[in-house]
Amino acid sequence: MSVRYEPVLWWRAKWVYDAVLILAAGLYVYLYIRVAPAYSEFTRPVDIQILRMRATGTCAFLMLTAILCIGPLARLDARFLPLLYNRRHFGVLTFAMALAHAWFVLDWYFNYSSTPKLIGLFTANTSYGQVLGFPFEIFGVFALAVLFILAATSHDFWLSFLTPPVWKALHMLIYPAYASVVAHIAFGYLQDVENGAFAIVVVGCAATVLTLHLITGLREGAKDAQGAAADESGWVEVGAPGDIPENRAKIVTLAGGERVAVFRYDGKVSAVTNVCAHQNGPLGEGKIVAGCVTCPWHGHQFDPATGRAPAPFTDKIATYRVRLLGGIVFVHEQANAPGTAAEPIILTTSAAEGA
Amino acid sequence: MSSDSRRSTFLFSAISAMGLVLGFVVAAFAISSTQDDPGRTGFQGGVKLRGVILAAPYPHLMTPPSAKYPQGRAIPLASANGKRGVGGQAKRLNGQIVELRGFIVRRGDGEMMQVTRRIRRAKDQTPFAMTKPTRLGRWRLSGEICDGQCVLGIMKPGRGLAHKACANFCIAGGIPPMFVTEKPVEGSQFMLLGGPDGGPMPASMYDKVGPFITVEGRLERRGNLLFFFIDPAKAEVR
Repeated sequence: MSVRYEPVLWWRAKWVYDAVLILAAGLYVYLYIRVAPAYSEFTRPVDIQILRMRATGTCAFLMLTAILCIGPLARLDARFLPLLYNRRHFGVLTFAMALAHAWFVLDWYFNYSSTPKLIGLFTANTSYGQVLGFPFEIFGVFALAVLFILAATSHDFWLSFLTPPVWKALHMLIYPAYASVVAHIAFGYLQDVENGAFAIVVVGCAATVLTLHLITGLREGAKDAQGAAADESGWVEVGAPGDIPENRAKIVTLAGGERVAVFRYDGKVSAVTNVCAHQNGPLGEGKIVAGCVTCPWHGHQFDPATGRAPAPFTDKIATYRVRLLGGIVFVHEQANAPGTAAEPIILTTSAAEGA
Repeated sequence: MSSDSRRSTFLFSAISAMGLVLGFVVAAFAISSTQDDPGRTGFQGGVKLRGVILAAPYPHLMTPPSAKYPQGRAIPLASANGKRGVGGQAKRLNGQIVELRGFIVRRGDGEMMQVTRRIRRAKDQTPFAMTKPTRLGRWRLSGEICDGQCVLGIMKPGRGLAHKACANFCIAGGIPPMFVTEKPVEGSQFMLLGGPDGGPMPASMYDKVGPFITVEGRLERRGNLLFFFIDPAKAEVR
């Protein structure tokens, strides 16, 4: 969170996060190329150029799989949230790995000819009308282009410039890109290999990504299906104050599908939108830190009573009116304009216990 | 955040990080060590050959019969300088005795010479006896169209669908394509391809390079090498 744009902000957790990623990816490529082949009984070694393209390609696929698993894992278990904070660096590193793969392919399969490599890439195989022999490279080109766009627009400048909804929609392209990578592998390398080990890895990875998203989606859908109906005055029942964990929120889904995060903190109850102004992160899955609602994704903070980020920051989120009636917290279905102060409920000791 | 909660988060993050690194290490071994064996190939450098160069269907050299090659030796030719053939030189010197220098790549009964220097017409043009081509009739064969250079050992592996674009690129550059059969035919698994008119493989066959196909055509033996003149209308992906 910043009031002006820095190229990249670094702090200790980011260094450690990136070091772990570089270690994992570096070890993978090194072991794949230099160590593991020694344990194979090859009559002739696989070309080093082909080992390089296979190592970087499979590594990029595994990295992309890991990236796509982090989101649903964090939804299912909040302890995975720290992995989410720096996911953009993970994405940029994955793009770098995929780019290395593309470079090694171009420099071997499409090199040593009077035809330029990139022209060769698009003209050497044009069998688009058949399944076996389909130019699977095109799937890889699409995925690489998407990864480039996502890496290039990963900075907060682009988030602000494009606006969060557009930025988010753009970055949802990661799913078609992943599908494209799976197709790239399925129509290419998997058509050739006799050993089924890598096919098992690919199917396992794709199934894991799909299953985690399905579980999370079903869970979120079930929550939304419990959408609370408002009374004639527009008030929606949240529950007893004791139902809301201290310094945490209870998320209420309104009849229209809008989610409201109702926080209990410091003897008070306030309600804000569940959508963070930064990257649409789920504020209700965050907590109160230093008196502010803190987004679990990137730590953006907002005063729960006003919806305003602490000075000098200027971000705002919508607030909701709340009231306590008969020991039950109610939230009004009509959102206030972002940054509008809403009177919090002041809890007495008995009310706080939900009595 | 309480110190207990902070410790728990740190521990969980540390375990996740170790799990990620360990997972990548295991995956590297599991995926890399189970790659397919590219198979045995041979390489012979510093080769000098003398014989008659013929341009069709693709450049090849015919050498006189010898003890090792009683029918004579026919060896397809390509340039050692990248994905290029020697079609221009072969057309210019077609039917003449030439001297070649280069290296030979070999896999099983298939071989190809990569010419490293400009092909020179031999000073001594005294004709030598060459065995006549033997027509072996029409055959319907199953196998894969490969670029001769990569499949014989320039690339390991150098065949299959993942390699298709490279193979097309090589063949389009003039590298002689070879048909690699499922089982040996007339003692050979590797045969030089040609079109129905005795010329190069028709461009329509580029879609059939890489996958396993069945194709019909005329089979002919010249020296120790089989030539398969295929009919594009009788080719299908299996």
